[in-house]
Amino acid sequence: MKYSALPKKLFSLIGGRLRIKKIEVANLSFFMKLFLLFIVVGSIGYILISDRENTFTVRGETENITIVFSNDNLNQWDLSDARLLLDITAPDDLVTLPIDSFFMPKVETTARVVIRNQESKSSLLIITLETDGESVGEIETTDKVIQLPRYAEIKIDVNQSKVLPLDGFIRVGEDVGLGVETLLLSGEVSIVEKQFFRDERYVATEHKLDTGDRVELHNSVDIDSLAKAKGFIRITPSNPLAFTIHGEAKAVKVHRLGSNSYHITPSIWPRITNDPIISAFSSLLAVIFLLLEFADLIGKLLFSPRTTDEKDDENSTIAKKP
Amino acid sequence: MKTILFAIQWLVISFSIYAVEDSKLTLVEPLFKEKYSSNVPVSGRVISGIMTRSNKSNHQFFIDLPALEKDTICFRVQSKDGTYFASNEYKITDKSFAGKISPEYPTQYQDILEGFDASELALLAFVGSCSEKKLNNVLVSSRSSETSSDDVVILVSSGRSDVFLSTLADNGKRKSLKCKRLIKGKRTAYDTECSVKVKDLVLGTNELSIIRRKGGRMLPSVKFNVIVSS
Repeated sequence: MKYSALPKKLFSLIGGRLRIKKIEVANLSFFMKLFLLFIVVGSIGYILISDRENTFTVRGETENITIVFSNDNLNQWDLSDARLLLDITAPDDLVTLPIDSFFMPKVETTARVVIRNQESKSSLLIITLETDGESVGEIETTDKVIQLPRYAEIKIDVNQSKVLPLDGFIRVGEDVGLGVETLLLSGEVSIVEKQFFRDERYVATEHKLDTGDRVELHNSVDIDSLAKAKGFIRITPSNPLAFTIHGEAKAVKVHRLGSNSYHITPSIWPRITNDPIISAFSSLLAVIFLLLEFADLIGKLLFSPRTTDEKDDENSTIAKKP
Repeated sequence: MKTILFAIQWLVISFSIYAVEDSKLTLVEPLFKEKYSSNVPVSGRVISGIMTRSNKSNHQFFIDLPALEKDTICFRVQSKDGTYFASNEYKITDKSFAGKISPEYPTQYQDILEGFDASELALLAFVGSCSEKKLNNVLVSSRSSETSSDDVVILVSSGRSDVFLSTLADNGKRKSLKCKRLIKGKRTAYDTECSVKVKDLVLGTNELSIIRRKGGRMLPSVKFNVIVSS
């Protein structure tokens, strides 16, 4: 009873401001609809534009990839049988690493990984390491630890499959320019979005990448701030590097030849079809309006005042009676 | 009193403008050559710029000019993204002059040039004609008469190779410095930045060379002289 009077009170409040003196069923219904529309549309709007947790996945094939390592134990690379160059002034002095040699990078070391197909069936993987600090990291072999300088180059003949895990700030591809020989070949970006209430996810956006694109995960659309990401590179003989990168970010920045750089961000429209909360609210809105229309019709039928013609008809019928 | 001060100020400004105009390098050809578009072909030179950095982003440039035997210099300006490129020859009117000098630069892209920040524009001045294929004697340029750092920056179009700058150390031996790969934005005109301290250079001619390593092999080194006059 207490709550049933609420719409009337609300109506009288609004009606008072709008100088509506007489409460009519039609007006009550109109304001009820307006109120419900405001509540439901507001809720849908809030759910649509509210900030969500997005997981960006970039996968594809490339001839080069660059990572700035973060402090994570994931970054340990197997360099068995690799050839190591430590001094650029003596480019022929290469150290061959034994089996079970593992590279452990220091934080903020940059690694550029490039693959080149050779005439033989194997590919040549070239990893260039550099840092602004004192050392790019160390290589642990079965019997010793090799401290690396500020710059080092590692060459590996790829005769069998190899996986290099990645954790850090990753860039895939090179922007096309003079002397550039290795590029991103193909790829796609998919954005997986968390539902508003539930801890479930759906694919919000999928975007194809072109050959020659350069891709980075960013924390912001407005400023250049790379987002940390995890992933891996799968290296197989005579094939480009197959990469998969996952990261929680705000956008993927794509540098494309012949156009300004652009950002791939999640669109709000897939939320309408994929987020059950928005679907439920939209359905609720439709049902409420249907019920209100129905109630309006019943109200008109039951409570609407009779017209003078109807009264005359009734009186004439009574008079005719003997 | 105010009138007198104003008159003195006006006279000082007029004379200073006259002095700057007098010392400017003048264009050899009357037509100033510059291009601004998204598809500018980039010069094939490895060295894109040698300059000292400044905080100001002017469209007015300065060249540290020594007393030269030749009377022609080439001055190139190019943006990192390759959209802007200018290459013009200048005649030195007074060969005995040594010091910072501002070349005549009648650009129609003032706002665009001022929009490029310190790292986005490469200046390259060298003795001789712009058609010369080999870079020999390079002069240090800047975007302001006041520089903000003690480094001479060498901007290199390396084709994404690993670049080292080889300089002569105090003991007479050569030392190699690792250059920094530029990461942000489009890198059409240059992609690497090498720095050498001004105090590590001598007045006069400094022999430098750029060493490049790409794809696991060495590329031919690029030797050039940087002439420092002040």
